[in-house]
Amino acid sequence: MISRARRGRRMLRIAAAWCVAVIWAFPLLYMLLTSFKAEADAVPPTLWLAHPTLQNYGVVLQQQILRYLEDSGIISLATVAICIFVGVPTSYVIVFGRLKRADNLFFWFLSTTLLPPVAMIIPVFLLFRVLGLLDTLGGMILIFSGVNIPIVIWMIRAFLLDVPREILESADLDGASRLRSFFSTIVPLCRQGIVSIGLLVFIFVWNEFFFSINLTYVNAAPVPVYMASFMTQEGLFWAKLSAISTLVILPPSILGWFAQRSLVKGLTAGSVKG
Amino acid sequence: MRRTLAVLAMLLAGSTAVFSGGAPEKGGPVELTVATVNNPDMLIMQQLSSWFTRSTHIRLNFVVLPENELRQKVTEDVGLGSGRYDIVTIGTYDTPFWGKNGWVVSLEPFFARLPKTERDAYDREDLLPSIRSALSYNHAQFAVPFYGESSMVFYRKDLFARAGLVMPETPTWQQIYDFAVRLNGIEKGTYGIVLRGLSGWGEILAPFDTMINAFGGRWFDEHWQPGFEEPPMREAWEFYKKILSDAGEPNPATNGYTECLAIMQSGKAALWYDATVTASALEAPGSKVAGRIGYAQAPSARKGNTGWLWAWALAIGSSSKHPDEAFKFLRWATDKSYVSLVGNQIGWSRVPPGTRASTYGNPRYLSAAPFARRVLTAIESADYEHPTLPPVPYVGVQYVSIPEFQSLGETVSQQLAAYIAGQKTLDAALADSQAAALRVAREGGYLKQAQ
Amino acid sequence: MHELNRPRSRLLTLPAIVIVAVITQAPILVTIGLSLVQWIVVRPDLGVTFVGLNNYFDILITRDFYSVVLNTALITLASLAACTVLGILFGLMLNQDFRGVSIVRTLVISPFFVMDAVAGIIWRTMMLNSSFGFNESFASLLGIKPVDFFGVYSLLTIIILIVWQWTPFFVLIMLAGFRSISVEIADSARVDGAGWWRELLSIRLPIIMNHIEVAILLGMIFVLKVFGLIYVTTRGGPGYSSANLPFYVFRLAFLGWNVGHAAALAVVTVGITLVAIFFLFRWFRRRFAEASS
Repeated sequence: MISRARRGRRMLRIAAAWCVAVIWAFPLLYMLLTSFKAEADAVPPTLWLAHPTLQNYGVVLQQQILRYLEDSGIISLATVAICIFVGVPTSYVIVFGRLKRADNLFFWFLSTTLLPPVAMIIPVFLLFRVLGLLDTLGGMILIFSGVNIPIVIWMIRAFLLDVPREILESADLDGASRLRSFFSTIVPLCRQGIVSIGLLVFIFVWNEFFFSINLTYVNAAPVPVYMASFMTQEGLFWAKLSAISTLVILPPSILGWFAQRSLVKGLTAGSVKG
Repeated sequence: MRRTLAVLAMLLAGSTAVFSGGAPEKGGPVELTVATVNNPDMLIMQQLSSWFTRSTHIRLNFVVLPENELRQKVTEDVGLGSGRYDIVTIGTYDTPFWGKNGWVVSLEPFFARLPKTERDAYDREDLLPSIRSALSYNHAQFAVPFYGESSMVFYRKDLFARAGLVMPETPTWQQIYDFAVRLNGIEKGTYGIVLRGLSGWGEILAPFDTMINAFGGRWFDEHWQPGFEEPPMREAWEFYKKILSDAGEPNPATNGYTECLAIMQSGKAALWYDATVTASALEAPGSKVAGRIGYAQAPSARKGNTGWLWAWALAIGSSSKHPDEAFKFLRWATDKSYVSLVGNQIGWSRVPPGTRASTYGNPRYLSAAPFARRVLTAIESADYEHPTLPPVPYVGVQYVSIPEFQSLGETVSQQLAAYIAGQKTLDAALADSQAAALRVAREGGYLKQAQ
Repeated sequence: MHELNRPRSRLLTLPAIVIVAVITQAPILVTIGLSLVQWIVVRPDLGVTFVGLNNYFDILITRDFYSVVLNTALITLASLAACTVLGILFGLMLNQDFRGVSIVRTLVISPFFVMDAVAGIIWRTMMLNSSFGFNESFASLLGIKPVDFFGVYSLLTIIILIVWQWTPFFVLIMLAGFRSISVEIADSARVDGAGWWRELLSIRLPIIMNHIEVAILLGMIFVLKVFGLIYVTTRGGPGYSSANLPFYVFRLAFLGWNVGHAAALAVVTVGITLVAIFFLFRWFRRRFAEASS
């Protein structure tokens, strides 16, 4: 029994959503388009593909990209795993553990993220040099984990606070052990939150430029280092840069697709906020 | 709890595998780590490096970065004591103080140790003298060039013909201005001239610094007092802004070399003053202006021979564990047979420019690159040692060869950009530049306290 | 819940505290140490000498420092305000269910997937370049001179780029919050006759307050640390008109190679940011305490 007016308004809202989405993403859509243009056509802006070509992808998809993708993959996934496994339980304990100085602890975690990466590079470079961590996958995973765990803690906190009181109390009454109740009840409720945060951390690490360039040489070089070699050149390079950027954007985008689908599922029935 | 312990144990086991650095196995083939810039000639070298590995069994690991990031990374690597690069790519700007700081090793002993036949084959004298001396410190050569350039004027022969103008071989800046104004808008959407406007000591300052020299200005006088209050300096600032606003591209703040190339290549400008290597890009098959470009020497004003001088060169890091193998690569990448290798494998128009005189005597190169002779003239006439009219205590045409110039040049180029964009008055921009240069001169110990 | 007070459960926080402490505090200590010395990397002949608080004095008497602080404050406030508002609006917009909503959502959050250096290049050349970007096409279509985005309007343009790139972050968090609001509550509000606006302000927003808090606190920290966008587009210029504190640190550390100055500036940056975060945090605590009581 949806009235005409309501349906019309709904169509309007959907159309508006599409418009906003396309306009907002336009620079990236244009980048995707440019990646199929010949280099000489890349520059004067046209929405028309005069001579579509896969040449740019051919240039950037050299054999060596595999090693960068592999390093990036390992570093990103390991960091996400550590951040989630360490950060989610921590957040849980601070939110529900009735710790004496919960707020202080939260604030402390926040305060550790304040030093800009640019400022961190020289001290971290010196430390890594002394510890022999330069150009190692482990070193990169370590630094990215340290920097992102507080973010995970903070974001999970928001999702934990969303969990309705009844659920918490009903889990309590069951007499189940704390940890078990945590895993069986709370975690599934926050699953979409955990997935979103995992995705965000993955993107942060995958795209991180400055640490990647400064702390690696040849053995642990992630994708941003490969991209840097396409970023400025003496010749025209925008079509090639578009091609490599499109490729590099693919893993986060695919993960993003899945993450926002899980976000959509919402809380399971019967445990919604009241 | 048990599950947690198990997970932790697995992580620990995995992490030991991942924490081990990439130290090469002892006794394996020698591996050299090469830090290099991402210009086309180096990319070609990377492509052809398998030839080197095949004959010497020395493996090469390339780290390829754009110029600014490369300089940052190699300085950080050497300056902070890590020293992991066997071979570094540095420019004529960096070589003198890298040599002075002991960051790269002098190549003299290596050349001395070469047997006569190899020394003759390499033929050091064939390397262009101005570039060779720019890559030396205290008469010792620290790096070998694989790319050299100067600057020159590029103009559209067809537009000039249409307007009935003739470009002299050695134009003055005033003539360039007049041409640009005449040709501005001669075709819809065509600018009279395109010039770099992107701030950065390697961007806008490259052409602008030569203009300062041409007008008779200087960064520091012979006692290291900054020269921003001198009248010729002021004239240069006014002129650069004037030519851009009267006949240049609009809003030049984001136009660096690549953007200017895009503008020129698509036919949107009648004149351009920039690096000599541009000639090959403008005449390349994809260019819309191929065959319609004329060339002239860098514009003069009160001073002539204003073309700049730049080379990218390979040097051996002082903490390299394989200096002899590194020297082998340095020789391979810059000797005559490499030039032929590029010519035969890639194409004669793509051989490394601006390094060897023999290249410019090679008929195959000359026929593939009709602008080559002019480029050679530009490089040979560049006044690296005496870039300015009045005496100065520094060398370097488009920069001042002191380590602090990276920062000072950046600051001053920002002032210039602010002035051009109308965000700052000329007096304010010059005053701030003067203050910045004064601070550098004092803190760097150039300006003696007595002054 | 009292059982969580058992010490064993509190151990769960230990790994996080240890890892984070070691990785983030060690560099801060080293930075403080470096801020007390004079060390110019490209001049090893000048050596490394202890100079006490001189570096701090040098920074604080430079006029540029204050314009950079002002820029940073402007960038942060403007970006946060815009991102929050857009995050809420887009979050609402994407909270609907229709065919293709997944695509729409992915498109809206896509700016976040791109490396900020690449995003900067795309905007600088393909979009806003005055000679061959869309800027030029629009300008010639309208018959006006192209806008000097990166010259005259450098700070504003940087803010726009930051908003473009970080709104998706806010959208994700707000959307997650909106999804957690039950359909019953939304319907009950509608039955009450509340208008869309009232419903938003008095019902939905308070429910997702902790999401808003996280978004603003974390968002503020991220925006304060923005570097790549500025590095690739304006390089802090013209002059210092679009330089923020991290970019100024970069100039001192990697162009001037003055490790002491850069470290001192980094310490000052952290100090300023700490104060700002502290007050914001406390403000949220108070409001949240009011709301939940």
